[in-house]
Amino acid sequence: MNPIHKRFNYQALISNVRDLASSVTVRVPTFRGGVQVRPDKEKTQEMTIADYMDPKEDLVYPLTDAYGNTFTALVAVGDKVQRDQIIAETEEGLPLYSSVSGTVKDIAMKLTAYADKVRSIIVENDHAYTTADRPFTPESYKELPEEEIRLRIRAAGIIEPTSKMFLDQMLQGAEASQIHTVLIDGAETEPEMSAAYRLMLEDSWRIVNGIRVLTKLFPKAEAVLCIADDKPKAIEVMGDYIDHEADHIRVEIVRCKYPQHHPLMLAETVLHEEVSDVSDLLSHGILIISVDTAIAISRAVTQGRPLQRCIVTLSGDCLESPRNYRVRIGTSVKELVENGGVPVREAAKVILGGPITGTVLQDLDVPITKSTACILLMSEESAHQMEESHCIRCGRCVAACPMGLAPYFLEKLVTKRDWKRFESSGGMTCIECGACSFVCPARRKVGISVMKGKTMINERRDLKLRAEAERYAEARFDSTPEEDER
Amino acid sequence: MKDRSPSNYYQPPHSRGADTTSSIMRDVLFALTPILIFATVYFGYRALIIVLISCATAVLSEYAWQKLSRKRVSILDCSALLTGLLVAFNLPISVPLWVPAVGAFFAIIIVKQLFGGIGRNLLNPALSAKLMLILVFPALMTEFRINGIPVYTPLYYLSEGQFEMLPSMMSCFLGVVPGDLGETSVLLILLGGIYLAARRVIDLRIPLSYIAVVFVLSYLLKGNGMYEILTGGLIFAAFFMATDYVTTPMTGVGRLVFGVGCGVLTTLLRVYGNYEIAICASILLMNLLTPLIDRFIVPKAFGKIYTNNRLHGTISGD
Repeated sequence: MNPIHKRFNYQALISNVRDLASSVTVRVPTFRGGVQVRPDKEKTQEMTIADYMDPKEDLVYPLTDAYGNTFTALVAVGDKVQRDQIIAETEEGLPLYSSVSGTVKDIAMKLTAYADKVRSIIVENDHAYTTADRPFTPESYKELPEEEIRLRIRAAGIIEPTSKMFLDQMLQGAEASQIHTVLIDGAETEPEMSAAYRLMLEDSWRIVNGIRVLTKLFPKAEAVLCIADDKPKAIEVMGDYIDHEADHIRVEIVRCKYPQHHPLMLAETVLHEEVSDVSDLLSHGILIISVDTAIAISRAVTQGRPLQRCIVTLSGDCLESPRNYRVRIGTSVKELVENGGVPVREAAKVILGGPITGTVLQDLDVPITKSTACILLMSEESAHQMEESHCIRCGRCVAACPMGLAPYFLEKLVTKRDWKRFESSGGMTCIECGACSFVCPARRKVGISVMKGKTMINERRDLKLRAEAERYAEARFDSTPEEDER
Repeated sequence: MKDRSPSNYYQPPHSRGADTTSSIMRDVLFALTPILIFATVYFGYRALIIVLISCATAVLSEYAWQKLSRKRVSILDCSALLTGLLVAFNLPISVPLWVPAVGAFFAIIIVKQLFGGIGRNLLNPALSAKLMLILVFPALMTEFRINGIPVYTPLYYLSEGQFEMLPSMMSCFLGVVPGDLGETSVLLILLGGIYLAARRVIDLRIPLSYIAVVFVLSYLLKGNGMYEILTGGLIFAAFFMATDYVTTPMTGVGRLVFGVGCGVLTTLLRVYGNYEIAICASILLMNLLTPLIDRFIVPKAFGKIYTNNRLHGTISGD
């Protein structure tokens, strides 16, 4: 995992001089800050997505997902379920589907990757894959009225991972006139992940169809498909599929710099608009979806079915041939790792997510959910981390922060527990991209300290609210018995 | 060194950038090697001895300090070695051999370790050592004697106004003039500086702004720009002393302010004060101002909820 040292970096010299001269004309648009990382995708991006659609083990569907949505089960133990049948739903009625047909084995507490044990529905696969009747007839989006399109999107239970909301909630919150731009994130700048790239090459029609559905819902909006410049083939293929006269879609090439894939950075690069929080994007008229969501929209509207598979990049230096896999949601990570190719080394560390923001999995027996994009198997050599040493005040973290913060300073404030100053220096706007920790030559986990500061401030906010609520309750308790009886 | 402590092993990021503290120091040492070879060839093998004494004293004193104060021994990050080399490069060839030892000891123990170790010193260690030596032993540092014959540096002629005694600009550029060990060969310094800029080790803002300001200001004040920047070790100080990470600001704009400030102070001190210590004093003064610069020049924050970098309505109380 250690990048190769380039002995003489001509590009760095030229960009150093260019920075100094404050050149305004940038050939490829990008955002301020960020860090140029080696994409490391050569291993996985040239191979087509392999299918692993017949899981042998039981499938697990957690009833609390990574985004905080809670579902109530609609099935009981022993029920027979079919593929694409609703097995749980939220309070608002948004559904959770089963990805296989089989029998509900149990509803129990199971470990997940994002939380401790969560109540989950466990379905035993009968390998028949009988599908439930679809409630909607297949129809091109052009024939369908707008309400029908929204109904189909809601019924499919599509979740947008970057905004952590159901797509239906996002579309309901947005008036048709308010959205002026729909950004589709095809940038994928985190190393090792190449799922979006392969989808753009293999599933191009569905992506463009999904974007076209959104342009129908928001006729005044322009759709921009952002692709990073390390994916020339994807740019070419997507350009071919877009009808440049009829569609309000254009392809924007952005510089492949981490963390370009973050919605705030996309908004800054493409629209030159600086929004501080992801939840504020809709009120600024910007809708950001991922490539997978576009495919899900196309499937929901045209076919009337949910998207119950996800593309997982199984990578790292422990496998002989790392590649992308198409898996059913609910498959266990352990099963995919064991069947996903020949191991050449022992995996010392298994990471869910990319190498910069991923979390370490201590127990592989967790289900793959919609939020899973990458599983990295790191051997002993690549998992090797140097010790943290003193900050040498080089300023690389300041240059790397996409939000214009000074991470070294925020880390010092966290150590001194100066929360007031932490917040007023902008600590809460940290997007937790990890770019600062990535570049630090002293190998300090600067980003982790800033995240710790954010957690502390959130806790203090909760405590404050709770204290206020208690005071309010006390004041109420001080009432006369007659008032209290009322 | 592997660290399996939970904070290091289980927390992201799991992949890091290529630069480490020691790789940066080694890059600077690599950039300084041609200068060392030139000094040995031009000034004699005594240069090598001075460098060896200085580096050895630096590394040993840091090792002794860290061992005695029961801290983690960090001499392998090459920062002490680099400081020793820079101290040696600031000395003329004719110094007695105990001078580099005293200078290196002062730089490492008093300026660096007593202030808190790497990353915590306020002043540039090598430059503070040079200033201390000039103030305490001015004769040894400024009077050059090669084989007993007094030799004068171009800086001396410039300060005395004896322009006809100045060597040609090409000699000053190539470095075949008397001076301190590392600071004569402008050509090799520039090559080293370009190498470091290409490796993203130094930020070109500081040296280029420093040199440009000295050039323009001394041309305006004294009518002589080119010789001012080619003599007295200005280019060496601009590329290798004023670019020390610890003592310079963290933001791009801050670094420009630092470079311009150094340039203004150097020129003014040269015109109205002592020529010899102008560079030392100006860079050290700007080092003292760096915390102030870092306090007021902060990176431009993202988003519209900020004015003057102050977030409105904080939870933590106002």
